[in-house]
Amino acid sequence: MKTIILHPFIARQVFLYPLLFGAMVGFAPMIQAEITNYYPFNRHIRPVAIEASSPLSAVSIRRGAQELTGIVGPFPVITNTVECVLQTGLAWQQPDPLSAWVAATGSQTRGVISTNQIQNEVGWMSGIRTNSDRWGAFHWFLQNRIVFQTPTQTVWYSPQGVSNEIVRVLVGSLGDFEPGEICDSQSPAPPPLLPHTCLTTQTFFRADFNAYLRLVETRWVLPHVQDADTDCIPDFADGFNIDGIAGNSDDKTPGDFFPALNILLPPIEDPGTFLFRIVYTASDPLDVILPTPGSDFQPGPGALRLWLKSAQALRNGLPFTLGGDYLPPGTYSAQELGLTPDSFEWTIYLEMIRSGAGDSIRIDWSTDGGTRWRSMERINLCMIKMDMVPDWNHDRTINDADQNKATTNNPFRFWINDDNDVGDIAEDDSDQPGHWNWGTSPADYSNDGIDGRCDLLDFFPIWLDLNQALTLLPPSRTVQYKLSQSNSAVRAVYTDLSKDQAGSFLISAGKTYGPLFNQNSYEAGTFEITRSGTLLSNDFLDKIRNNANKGILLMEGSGPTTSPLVLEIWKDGSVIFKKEMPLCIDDIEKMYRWINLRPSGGQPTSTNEPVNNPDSLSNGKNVFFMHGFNVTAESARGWNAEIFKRLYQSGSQSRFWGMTWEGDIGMLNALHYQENAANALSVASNFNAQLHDITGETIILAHSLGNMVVSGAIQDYSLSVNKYFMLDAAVATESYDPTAFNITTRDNYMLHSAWADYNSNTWCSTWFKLFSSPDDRIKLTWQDRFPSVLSVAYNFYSSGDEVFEVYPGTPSPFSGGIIPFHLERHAWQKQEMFKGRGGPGGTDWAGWGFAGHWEGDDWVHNYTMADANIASDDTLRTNAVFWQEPMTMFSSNISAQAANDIIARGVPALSYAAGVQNILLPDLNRNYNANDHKPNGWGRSAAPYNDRWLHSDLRDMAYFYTHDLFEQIVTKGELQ
Amino acid sequence: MNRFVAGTIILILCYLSVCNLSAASPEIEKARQYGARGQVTLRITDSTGKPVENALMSVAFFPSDSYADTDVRAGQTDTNGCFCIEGKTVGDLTFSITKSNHYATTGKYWFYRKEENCLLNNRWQPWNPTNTVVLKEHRNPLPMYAKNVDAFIPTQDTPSGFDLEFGDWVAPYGKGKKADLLIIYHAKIEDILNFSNQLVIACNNKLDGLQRARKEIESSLLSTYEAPIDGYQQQMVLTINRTKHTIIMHEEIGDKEYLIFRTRTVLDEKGNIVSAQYGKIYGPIEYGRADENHSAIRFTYYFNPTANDRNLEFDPSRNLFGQTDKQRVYQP
Repeated sequence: MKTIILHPFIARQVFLYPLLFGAMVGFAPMIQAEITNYYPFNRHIRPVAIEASSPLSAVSIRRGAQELTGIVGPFPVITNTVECVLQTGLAWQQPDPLSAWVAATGSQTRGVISTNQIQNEVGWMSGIRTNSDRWGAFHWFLQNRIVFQTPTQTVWYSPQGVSNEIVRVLVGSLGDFEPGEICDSQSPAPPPLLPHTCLTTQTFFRADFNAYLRLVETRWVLPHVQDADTDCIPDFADGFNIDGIAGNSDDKTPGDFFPALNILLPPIEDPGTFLFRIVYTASDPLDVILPTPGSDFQPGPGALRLWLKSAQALRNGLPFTLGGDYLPPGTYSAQELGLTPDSFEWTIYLEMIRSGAGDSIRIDWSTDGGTRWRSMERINLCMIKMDMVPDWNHDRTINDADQNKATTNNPFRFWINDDNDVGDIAEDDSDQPGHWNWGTSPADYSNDGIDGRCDLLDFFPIWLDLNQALTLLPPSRTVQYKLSQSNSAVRAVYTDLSKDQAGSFLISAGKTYGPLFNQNSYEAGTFEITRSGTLLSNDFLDKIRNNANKGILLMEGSGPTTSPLVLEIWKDGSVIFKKEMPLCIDDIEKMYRWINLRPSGGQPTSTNEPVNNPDSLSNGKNVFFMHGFNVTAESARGWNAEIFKRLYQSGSQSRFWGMTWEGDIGMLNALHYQENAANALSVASNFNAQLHDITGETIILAHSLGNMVVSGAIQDYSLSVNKYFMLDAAVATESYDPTAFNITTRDNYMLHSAWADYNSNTWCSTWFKLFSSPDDRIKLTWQDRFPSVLSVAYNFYSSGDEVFEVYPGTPSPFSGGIIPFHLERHAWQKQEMFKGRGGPGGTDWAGWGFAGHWEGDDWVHNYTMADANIASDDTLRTNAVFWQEPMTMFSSNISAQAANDIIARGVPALSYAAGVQNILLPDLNRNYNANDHKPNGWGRSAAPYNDRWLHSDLRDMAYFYTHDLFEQIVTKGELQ
Repeated sequence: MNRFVAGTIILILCYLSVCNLSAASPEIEKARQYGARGQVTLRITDSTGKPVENALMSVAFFPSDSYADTDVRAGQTDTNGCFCIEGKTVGDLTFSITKSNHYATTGKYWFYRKEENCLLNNRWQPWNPTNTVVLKEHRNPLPMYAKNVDAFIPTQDTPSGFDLEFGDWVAPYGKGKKADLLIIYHAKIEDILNFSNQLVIACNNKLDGLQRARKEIESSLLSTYEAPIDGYQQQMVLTINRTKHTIIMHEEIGDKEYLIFRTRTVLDEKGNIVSAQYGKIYGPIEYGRADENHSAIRFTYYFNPTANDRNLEFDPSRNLFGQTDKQRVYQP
C-alpha cells in the first residue's frame, strides 16, 4: 500500500470573492472563477467523441480508430476507506503575521466530518489580516482521504473480444498506478505558508477518482531502409553524419520521416529522483557498416532506434548522454532527459531498422531509486510488410533468397526490351538489340502487349508483398495503391501467378494474364508505369488480399533508367507509405563483355566490367559464346544477346562473354564454307590468346562452325577449358571419335558415288594412312583431329538438324538462289561431298576430284578404276588417284596452317557432323539430343520441317520450347 | 554402228566421266538439281484401312535444295481420303497430316529412285501414283503410369529392381514394392574412348519378358496399339564396348526403337498366363557413368495398370503419376 501526499504543484490558483473573515478595506477585488481544478495533477481525462454515422462505414470506423489513445475507461476504483477531514483554525491579537498563521494552523481543530463520501470541493480558505499592529489569521482546510485499490484486471477485453494487456492505471487527478495497487491518498496537501502580508486566499479542488486503463499500444511501422533524399545513402545510415565528415550527404535527410511516440507521463514530482528505464532491441546508429567495393551500407545489429529529434533534423548519432540525439536503452532520470514536473507528455521518435523477435519498446518508471519499477508504456511494433521483390537470382521463384537484395548501391538490373520479337520463331534481325520504337520493325517495348512467345524472354517478375497492407488498408475511394517510376522506363503485365511460380511464364502455358487474367501469357496486354503513378487495379489487389503469395507483375524495360520503382499507398490524397525497389535498366549489351576476333569491323573488344552487370553479382565463372558460320558482325549482336538472355533466364550467374569471328568470308560467303572452316582453325590461335589471362573457370558454348574455332583452340593451342558445350557442331564426328570414320563402300553416304567402286585406299580421305610420322602428310585427315576435346565436351546435337540432314546417296550440287544465297538441304554433306569437285559450294582441292590430264579436248583420269584398285601403296603415295591440288599437300613437310587449309578445303570427312548424332561415351550426360527434348511441344509443325529441332532453333525458337536445353547447360556447366 | 552414233556414245561416256554426279542420266541429274514436275495422290487411311476424310494436309515440294524455294501447300483429303498434289521438286516431297482424334503423321515421298527410270519429259514417273499413308486413329487412349526416368542405378554388377507402377527402385534403394524390371549395370572404364558399358534389363517372373520393336516414327503414336501375346524374351543386354579406334560391340535400344514388356505374370498350374501387365519403354535407353561415384539410367516408360490389358495407347492428359513440368510425358 502506498501513502501518497500529493502537492498541488500544478493546481491552478484562482481568486474568489472576499471571504467573510476579516475586513476588506482597499483590497484588490477577487475574481469569480469556475472551480475547475483537479488535484493534485491538473489532468483531465475525457472520452473522445467519435461521430457515428448510420450505418457505420469502414471509413468512419477507421477514422475513429485513429482518434484512439489507447486509454479506455472510466472504471471505478475500489474504495476501502473514504473520509473527509476538516481542519479549522483562528488566531487574533498576534504580534506578527507569522505568529498569527502559526497560531491559526497550529491550534486548529481537526476532525472527520464525513465518511464514505468524497467531497467534491476540498481545499482551503485562509487569510491573514492586521489592524492596529495586531495580526489575526484564519484557516479552513478540507481534505479527502481515500484508501483505494485500482482495478485489478491486467488484461482488457474489447466488446469485440480483442484482448490487450494493461500497462498502467491512470486514476484521474491522483496519479498512475499499477493494476490492483492499493493506495492511501490524502489530498490536497495542506496549503503552503502564506506570505507575511495581508492576503486572503481560497483554493478549491475537485477530485477525479475515475480510473482509466492505459493499454499496450501496437504500432505498424515500415523498416527504414529507403533513401528519402535519393542521395544513395539508405535512410538508416543517413542524417547523423555517420562518416564524420561535415557538410556532405549523410548529414541530413530532407523528406525523411520518423513516427513520433508521444509518451503520456505519470506525474513527476522530483525530476532528480524520477527514473526512466527504457528497454528495446537497439541498433546503434554508429554501428552502421560503411560500404566497400562490392558491399553496401549495412545497419548494425538490433531492431530499432529511438531518437530525441525528428528525422529531418540535423542529428548526432551519439547517445544523448554524450551530447548526441540517440536514446539508447538504459536508465535515466527525468532531469537527464530534460523533463520537469510540468511535463505531461514526452515525444520521442522511432526508427525501425529491421524486424526482430519480440519487437517492442518498454518504458518503466521508479521514484525510489530503482527499487520498484512501474510500467509506464509498452509499445509492440509490427513491421508493415510492404515490399517489392524481384527474382534477384532469376531462379524463377521469389523467396527469402531474393529479399532485401535490391539496394541503392546494388539495384536490380535488367535490359531494355528493344529487340523485335514476333510469334514463336525469330526471323531475320528480330533478335538484334537496339530497334527503335518506330518504323517497320519497332522495338517490343513500344507495343502494348507481349509480342509472342519469343518476347517472354524479355520480361522479369516482381512480387508485390502487400497482403498485410491490404488487410489493414483495403483499397477504396480514399485509399489507393500506385506504382510509379520517374522515367516511365518500365511497363507491366498483370498476372495471377504466385511467388513460388514467378518465373513460370517462361516455361508454362497459362491463360491467367492481362488485366482480366484471361489472356495467354504470350499476348497479354502491358501497361505503362508512369512518372506520376499508375493506379493498381482492384482486381489485382483483391487477389493479393485473398492470397499473400499472389501479386506477381511481369515487367519489361522500355528505356534506360537508374531510378527506382516506387510503390505507394495513398490515403486521402497523401502518400502514407512508400517503398522503393532500386532498379537499373539499360541496353542488353551493357550486361556482358565482348571479344572481337575479326581482323576488322564489328564492335570493338570490351573486357571491362559490364556497366549494368557488375562482377560482384556473378559466381566468378566465365561463359563464352562463339557463333557459327555465315554470321555477320551485326548478326553476332543478335546471337550474343539472345544466348545471354536464355542463360540468364535459366539461372546463370556467370560472367558472359559474347564473341564474334570472321566466319562469313567471301562475298557470297555461303559458297565459301570450306574457306571459313579453314579460317576457323586459324582464328583458334587468337581465341586462345584472348582467353589466356582471364581468371576464373572457363565454360565455352559454341554453335555450328564456331566449334571448329574452339576445338582448334583446345587441341592446337592447349586452351584450358573447364567445360565445353558443342551446340549443333559443324565438325565431323570422326574428329572426336575415330571410330566414326567410315571407309565402307556400301550405304556410306559420305562417299561420293563417283568413287563407289574404288578401293578405300585410293581416296583422298584415307591417303594419310600411307604415311607415318614425322611425315606431315599423316596429319591430313579429320580422323582424331581433336582428341583433347572429349574430356571436357558435352555434345548437344539435334537429330532433326536440317543443315546436317543426310541425303541417302550423293546429293545434287548446290543449286539454290545464288544472290542472296539461301540455306540448302544437306548443306554440310554437300560441302564435304564437293571438295575437289568444283562448282558452287565446292572446291578444287583434292577431295573427290580425280587426278587427270587433257588429251585433246578430253579430260582423262590418270587411273582407270581397275588400275587404281591394284596400285601399290608406294605408287599411291607419289601419284594419288585423286585430284593433285594443292601442291603443298604433296610434301612431307607441311606447316600447321597449310595442313589446316588442306583438310578444310580438300579432305572430305567420312562421318556425319557431330551436330546430328551422339558420340559413344561412357558418361550418360555427355550427349544431349535436343530433338528429343521438347517439353512444351514445338512452335512449328507444318512441312517442310514439321516439328524438327533445326540448326539454329536454339536461338530462333522461343525459349518456351527450348528452355530444357539451356537449363541443361546451366546445370551441367554449374553456371548458377 | 555409224560414226554419228559411235561419236555420240563416246561423248556421252566422256560426259559421264567428267560429270560431277553419279552415273544416272543427265536428265535425271538435272532434275535432281533443278527440279522436275511430279504428282502424287496421297491416300490417307486409318490403321484399319478406312479412308480418312477431311484430314488436314501440309505438303512441301522442293523446286531446289534451297529451303527458301520450298513450295508449301495445304489442303484436305476428300471423301475417299485422297489428296492429289502436283509440284516441282528435286526428288521428294514431305508432308504432315493432322486430324482431330488422330495421331499426327509426317512422311516423305520419293519421286526420285536411284538407278530407276524415274523421269520422262521432265516429269517424275510414275505420274500420279497413289501412295497410302496411315493416319492412326485414337482408339482407346488410357491413363497409364508414364514416367521419364533419370535416376542413379543403385548398385553396380548386381541387380536392382525397379517398380514401374511406383516409379522407383524397390527397397532398400527406393519406395518401390515389386521388381518389374531388374537392372544390372556393368562398367569398365579406362578412359573416355576405351570402356565397356553393359546394361542388362531382365524380368523377374516366368514368362515376363521384353521384345524389341521399331518405332513408327512417322506417327506421333510411335508404338503399336497393343502388346503382342508372344515373342518375349527374359532379358535384353545392351552393350557399348569400344576402344579408341574400334567399336567391339554396340548393342542399343536407339531412338528408332522401343521395348514392349510383360510383367507380373501369374501362371496357372498348367503354365498358362492367368494375369500379366503390359507396357512399353521408348528408346533411346541411355545409361552410363553419371559422376565419380554413380552410374545412371535414363528411359521413358508406360505401364498399363490394368491386368491382362495389352493396350499400349497412352493418354498424355491422364498420367497416373500426375504432371509436373519436369516429369511430363507428352508423347502418347
